Amino acid sequence: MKHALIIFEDEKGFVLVLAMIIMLILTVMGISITRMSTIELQIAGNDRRVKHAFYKADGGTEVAIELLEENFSCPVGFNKPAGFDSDDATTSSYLQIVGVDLFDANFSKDKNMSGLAVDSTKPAPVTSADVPTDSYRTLRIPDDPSKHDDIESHTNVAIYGTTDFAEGSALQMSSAYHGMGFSVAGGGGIKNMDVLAQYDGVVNSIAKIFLEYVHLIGLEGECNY
Amino acid sequence: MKRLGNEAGFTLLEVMIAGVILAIGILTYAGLQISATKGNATSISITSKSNWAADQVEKLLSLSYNDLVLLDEDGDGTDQDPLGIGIDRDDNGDTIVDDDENFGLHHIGAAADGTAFSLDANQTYTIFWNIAVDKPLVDTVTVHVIVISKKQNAAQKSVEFDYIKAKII
Repeated sequence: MKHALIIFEDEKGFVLVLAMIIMLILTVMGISITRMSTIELQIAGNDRRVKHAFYKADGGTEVAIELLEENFSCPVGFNKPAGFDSDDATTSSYLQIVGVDLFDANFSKDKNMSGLAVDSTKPAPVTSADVPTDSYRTLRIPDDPSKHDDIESHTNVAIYGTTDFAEGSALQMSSAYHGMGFSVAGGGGIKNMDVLAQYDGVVNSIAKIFLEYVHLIGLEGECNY
Repeated sequence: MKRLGNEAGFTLLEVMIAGVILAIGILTYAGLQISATKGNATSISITSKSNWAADQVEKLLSLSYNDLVLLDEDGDGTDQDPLGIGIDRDDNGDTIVDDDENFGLHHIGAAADGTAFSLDANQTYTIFWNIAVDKPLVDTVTVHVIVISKKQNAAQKSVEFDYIKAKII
């Protein structure tokens, strides 16, 4: 009997200890499934934002190309609102064309944007990792057209370009009007543009699209702006 | 016998306390399990919806500009002011600046320019798209795709993508 009592005393607290061990296991499992669920939600949310940003940036390139075409079609540049003084950076650092803000060093001096974008030489090698940024861009497309602020999500676009003879077609020009080919104005010249668009969205979501766009000189439409 | 009886009661109490603690722990764990399951279901839903939305955007962007313009069936989007008379947001030709909510881009249900369903057996997701012509520039269309689950509150749990297509000569 004495022996049995000792065993009883030894086993005192055993069930509680067992319960505690099981609860410890449950706690570990609980923390891990909560973490797993949170991470799954983050993955799904990131995936959604990445896709959203990608289509935004892709759409930004379309806007940039359309604006380029519009600009090529307006040989004297876009219309400026009355009193627009682009040299005054404090009041008008950009010109607003409907839902698009134009930033441009040359453009802001009331020049045609193509004057800036189409240069005789392409500017320093474009490393697509560097541009566009909020401080270095040709245009900005805000998500909400009423909020012209870099804090809001927006698409930045940088455009570079050069004017070239089209391969093959420009023989006429380069060989003093001999033989087949087109003049520069008749399709023998091209404007070769690099368009870089980057969407900066919520939760630091970023997508960047880089494309080359070739405009055939002589195929301009009517000037809308 | 008296001491043995005392000790038996003590053990019973101990077992009961342990049982209660264990029960609380298991109930809490069950709650965690349920919320984790819900969270995972939400993740599946978000991922599926973004994929269906991307699928629809790709389908729409493969259309030509003129086909896209035709898709603006309720004619509620133009952001241009070519005559200098004010922006005619519902494209009805009048000179009044009328505020159709963001060119009808956020319409769902019957007001949307287009509707499709996901291709699974239950048609779990509904895909709406809206077209705004001449936004943000002339000769561009903005495409807004909205995907919602049949069961969920449309406004809160939708996945929405934008795309812009230009009319290039």
